[in-house]
Amino acid sequence: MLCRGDSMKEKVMMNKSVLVLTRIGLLSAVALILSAVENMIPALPFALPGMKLGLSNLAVMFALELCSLPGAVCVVAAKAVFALLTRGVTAFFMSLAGGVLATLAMWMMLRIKKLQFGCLGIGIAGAFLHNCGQLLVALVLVSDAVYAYFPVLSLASVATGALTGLVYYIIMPHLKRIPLLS
Amino acid sequence: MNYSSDNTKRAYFRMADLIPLAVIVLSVVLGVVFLLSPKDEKGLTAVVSVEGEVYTEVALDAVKEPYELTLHGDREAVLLISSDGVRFVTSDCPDKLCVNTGMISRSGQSAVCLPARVSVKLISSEESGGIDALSG
Repeated sequence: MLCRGDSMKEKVMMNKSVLVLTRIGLLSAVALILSAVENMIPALPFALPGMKLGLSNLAVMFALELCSLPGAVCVVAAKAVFALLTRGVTAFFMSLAGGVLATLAMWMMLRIKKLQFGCLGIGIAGAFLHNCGQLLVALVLVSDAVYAYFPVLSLASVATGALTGLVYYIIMPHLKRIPLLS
Repeated sequence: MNYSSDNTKRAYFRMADLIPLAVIVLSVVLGVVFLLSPKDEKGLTAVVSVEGEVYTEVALDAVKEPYELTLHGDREAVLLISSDGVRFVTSDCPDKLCVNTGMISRSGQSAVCLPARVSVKLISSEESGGIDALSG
């Protein structure tokens, strides 16, 4: 078969902006699907409201590697708009603040060449800052009592971030073999 | 910029990952310390009860110098009342639970000596924003 990745890649690369746009659209869709799937997972008995796995962070991590900061922010914005449509204004701002903070942190960690971070560090930093952003918005919009959540949510973010980092570490090499994403 | 140009696989763990981990652990510790630290509550009143009856009420803000209050319930117990809070200094009881309770300084807290049938409870005259419980 002639349909090897190289020839297809050449054709796709002919128009860079179309490629970037396609990737952003694809990864946004992946992010939305991941959060939808995540909502189907029954909550653990000891989980606080707002405690989630953060699987859609995977799509953002991928967008950072593939499209750098602007692309990842687009994915975050798509997630936030989805939250606005399905869960309302508060969810919009919480999703946006958490997503932007997490994206900035992970972007910086990918950029610093002197310190090579592993998937674990990037995953937990993303999860932790996502929590921080959401809590900051909740402090303003919901109640100033939510700061009591902070220690518990932070500890949980270490666990969920380690998990998303692990998933990222496992699937990244496979996804990179897809011509559109390589 | 395209970061996928290098085909080297990013490792799962590197030593640098300890930095975000340390930051998180540190902020959790700070958060817990902040949450558990006693707050400067205004308008605390110590309600002292002896044998089930309210014996006296002391507004802690009005206490300038700490003083001891000897209570004669079924057994003798001594309270130390200061502007920061209240604690049992000594008690004539076998288990010393009341003394071991230590200083109580936040509204809702109480110290009780059951053998002496003496108790002290702090109430707040103004509603403070502290959290009693969280439920989901």
